[in-house]
Amino acid sequence: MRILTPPVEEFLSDRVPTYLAVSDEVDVFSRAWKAQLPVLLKGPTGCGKTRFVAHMAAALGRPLITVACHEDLTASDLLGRYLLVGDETVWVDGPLTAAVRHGAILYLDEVVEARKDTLVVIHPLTDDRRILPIDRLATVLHAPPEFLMVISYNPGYQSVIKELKPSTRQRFISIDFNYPPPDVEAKVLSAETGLAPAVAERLVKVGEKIRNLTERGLEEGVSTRLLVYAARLLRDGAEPRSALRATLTRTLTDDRDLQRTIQEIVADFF
Amino acid sequence: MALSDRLARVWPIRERLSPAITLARTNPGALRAWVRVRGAVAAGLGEEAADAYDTLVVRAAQREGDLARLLALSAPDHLARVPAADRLRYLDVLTRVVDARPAAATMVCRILPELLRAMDDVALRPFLAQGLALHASAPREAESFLRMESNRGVQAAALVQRGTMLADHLRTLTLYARAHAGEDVEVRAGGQRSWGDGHHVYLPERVEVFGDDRDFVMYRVQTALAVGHLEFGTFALNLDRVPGDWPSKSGSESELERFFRAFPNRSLARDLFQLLADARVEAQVRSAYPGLARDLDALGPMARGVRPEPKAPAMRVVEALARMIWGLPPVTLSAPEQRALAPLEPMLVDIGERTVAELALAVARAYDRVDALMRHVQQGDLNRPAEGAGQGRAATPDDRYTPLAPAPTQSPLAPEAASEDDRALAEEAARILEQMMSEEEEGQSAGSDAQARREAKRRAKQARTDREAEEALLDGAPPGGAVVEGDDAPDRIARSATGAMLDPDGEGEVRKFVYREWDSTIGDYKPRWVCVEEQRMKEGPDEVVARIIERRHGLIADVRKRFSALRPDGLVRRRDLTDGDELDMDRVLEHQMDRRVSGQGRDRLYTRRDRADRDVAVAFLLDQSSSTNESADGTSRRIIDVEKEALIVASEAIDALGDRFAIWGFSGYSREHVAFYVAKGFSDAWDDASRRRVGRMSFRMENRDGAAIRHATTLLRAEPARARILVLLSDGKPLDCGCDHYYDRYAQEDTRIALREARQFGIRPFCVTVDPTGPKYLPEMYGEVAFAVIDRVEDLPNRLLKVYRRLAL
Repeated sequence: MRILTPPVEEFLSDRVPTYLAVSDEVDVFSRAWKAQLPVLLKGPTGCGKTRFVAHMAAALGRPLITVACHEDLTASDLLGRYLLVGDETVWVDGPLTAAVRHGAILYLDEVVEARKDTLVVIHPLTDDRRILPIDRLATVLHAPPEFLMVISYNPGYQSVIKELKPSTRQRFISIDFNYPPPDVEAKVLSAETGLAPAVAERLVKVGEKIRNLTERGLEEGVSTRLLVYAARLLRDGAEPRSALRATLTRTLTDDRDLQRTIQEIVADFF
Repeated sequence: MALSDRLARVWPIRERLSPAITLARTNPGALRAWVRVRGAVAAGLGEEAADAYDTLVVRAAQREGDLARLLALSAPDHLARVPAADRLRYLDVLTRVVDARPAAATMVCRILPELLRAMDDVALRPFLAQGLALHASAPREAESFLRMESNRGVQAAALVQRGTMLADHLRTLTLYARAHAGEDVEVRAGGQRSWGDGHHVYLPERVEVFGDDRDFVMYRVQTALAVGHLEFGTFALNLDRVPGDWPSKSGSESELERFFRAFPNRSLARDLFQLLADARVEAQVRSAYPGLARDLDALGPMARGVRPEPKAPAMRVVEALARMIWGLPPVTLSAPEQRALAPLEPMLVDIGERTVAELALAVARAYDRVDALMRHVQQGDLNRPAEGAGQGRAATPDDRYTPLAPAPTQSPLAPEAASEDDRALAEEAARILEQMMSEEEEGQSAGSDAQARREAKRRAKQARTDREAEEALLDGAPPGGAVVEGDDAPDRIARSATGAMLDPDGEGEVRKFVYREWDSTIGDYKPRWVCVEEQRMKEGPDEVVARIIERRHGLIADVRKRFSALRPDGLVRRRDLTDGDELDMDRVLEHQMDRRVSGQGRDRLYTRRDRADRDVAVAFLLDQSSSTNESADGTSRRIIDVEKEALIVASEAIDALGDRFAIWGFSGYSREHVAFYVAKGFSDAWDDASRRRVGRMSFRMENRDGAAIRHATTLLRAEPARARILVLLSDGKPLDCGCDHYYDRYAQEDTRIALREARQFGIRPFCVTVDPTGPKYLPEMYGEVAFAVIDRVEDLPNRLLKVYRRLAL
């Protein structure tokens, strides 16, 4: 029987994506990789977790396989399945299996979105056994030292359901993420979009003021990603108030009073 | 006790008996009511208000005896809702209504607090006159007119009150202030103008400078500048770091009060400090918010109001300073006046960079020169040179100096207006700040000054909240569902009424929960405001349910069949999929055979095991207020009966489907007794006992929707389902007149905010309103939450099923 594994080249990046470090996260991640310890990235939406992983994978020269988790994700989606190709039955590796074979960095994004029974398949990979049993292939894969499991999760969700079980959680070392400090965030906006630094600084201040409203009506503060979107429109010469209405005000909330407030904050700076 | 003895105890003064004599002559019932309440009015609201209250009751008695009794009893209750500054206004207007149209007085008595808040006297007079004229021909229409609910009322109100009203923008501006300050600043209505006491921000109730959109810009500028005093630390003055001889600190006074106390002519010192502090904050706001600076400039000189042309030298100097700061045409000063102003001028250069202590020092140095001008006027000697700072601060009578007319952009500092509560909190915060500073010296950085101040304040508030929660626990009310925050201790005005309400419907243990409530008049939560008493519903008699089941026999059988067909069982294997976990061997064989025979294969070869758990928890929350006693569609059946019928039918369907569900009802009286009945809990089976409990649900007293929704949210959050749904079944009138005025806009706004909170906790609320008239305010009240209005009550059972299919299937 043939076994198909997606080629490793598809997961390698030839350039290192920009990432501006805020604290010791680059160092902690590198050490975790060397020590073969799985990593949990905690932080609000759009604060740079995914970018950080992409950056680290490229910097460490490892292929990166990303899975965006969702509630219909099954164990077979991760492990792989049989396909019928002509007269032949072929096993096609899922992302988890492929990552183990390639010694890649496997990134499970928004891991709490996945069903709890699905997540159990990662357990043997995340303790000192570092193995992946695949019943249907009647085999057990041993993860090479380069393999690293990274998961991300957003503790800002208030839902009881979307909490990580301690049995899963305690298999990881954790790196906390938050929105970068203003000077770094302004540099991120400029670096990502080529927006003039002075304008980027003003945009970051808008973000800061809006974040003051988190827990005061706003469920989650404005993400760096959203600010990057705004920066991109501003760089292309969009009228600021209308560009920020589309990227920030309307996206952040449906609450009319709050929308009005956010738009007034925008007007404070643009 | 004889009546005369009681009177003598309440008022020893003989003259005060004259109202009693009048009342005794006209209506003994009114006299009794008046005697009972008068003492409390005087104690609670002051003698002046009590006198006005006497006048009101006496006038009413002269008109119509029974009116006097009604007003004597109810006016104080409504008066308690009116801000202290407006209480005389309330009584005065009401007395005039008694004179003009006694028949409308009780209605106006109820509505007037809202009207006073919404309108100033100029607008109120013609509006009220129109309402009273309408009352002559159509009393009910007059009420909705004056409540500004009818179209006619809304239009008339818009005509009399021009400009932009704070009430319309309070929430937006509060959020705006919080975004700027980074802390939970409270924005309050402050009468004619904006000002600050160092803890809260007060804004004018109406802005009418331009009469167009710029009035809102004006509001925004005023908010930013008023918040600026908190944001940039005007109130954080520390006199111990200002060189000079300052009075020693007394009691709980703030540093600013202590500073002003150092000057014989406090008004002058205040004006000078105010101008510099405003200028400093404006400079900081301008540099922090460039867009706001541009908007402020666009408003032009109108934003500074009409400037006076004072005659007295000291006032001319202050006015000249003001205009210099605001870039207005200067005041031409005489040489001595110019000399008095000179030491302040260098302060204006880069004033945004100055500290508050520097400003205080500059004011202290300039004060004597300006003050001297006044004394020279008195002595008729304008040419005597000014005395140096720090010498001979002889008392100058304040009345020689009229304080500066503040510009609309100014936010007068009124530290003396702070409540004892706020002062205690500020002291606690100062203590924490000092501690943080000393820790910082040991190497821990607390960030910028402003950040440190905010953090200290936050910790002080937290400490107090913890203390209050502890006290509440000792009081016996478990803070289970309580959300505790904010800073106002709940006042106990409403603690009267029906403390010991006998409850014939509940049984078993009463669980108490304390919740906050949204007060739209202050644009903020009242913390720990409402007490919800949860109890199990008793079982009702069999007949009620039996009747319903008999009546809806066909529908119930039908929905049970239809819904049970939708019931999933645990894990299901789905076949014939184009993609899945495993190949289906039967299909693979067929595929290979087909291919051999026809060259054409099949593509649906996979199976997948899906967890088909529905994982839905739904709760029905039934309004059991007395208004549901009204008849449905003019038939003999009451709304509550049809609601119960719909609940029974829906329950049969949901039970057949296998979803977890609960049925709760609520009613109650006043904020201290919101009854919350559990007819069927999530863990109860849908059996005859549960049916009988639902059967017992009946109309009770008032409904305070916000509190019930908050409690339902607490219960639902504890359910570990993926989808959690709350269906609110009501007649769309949140109303609790249990002596604390839960109705109209207040009640609607609280309901809206409570629904929004539920949504934020991942619950999907849906409101089903039974009201043939479909009131206009529903979209406003339900906000972003979906709702359905059932106009034909008989349709409810069918419609409720449809709603459930849409929400959960």
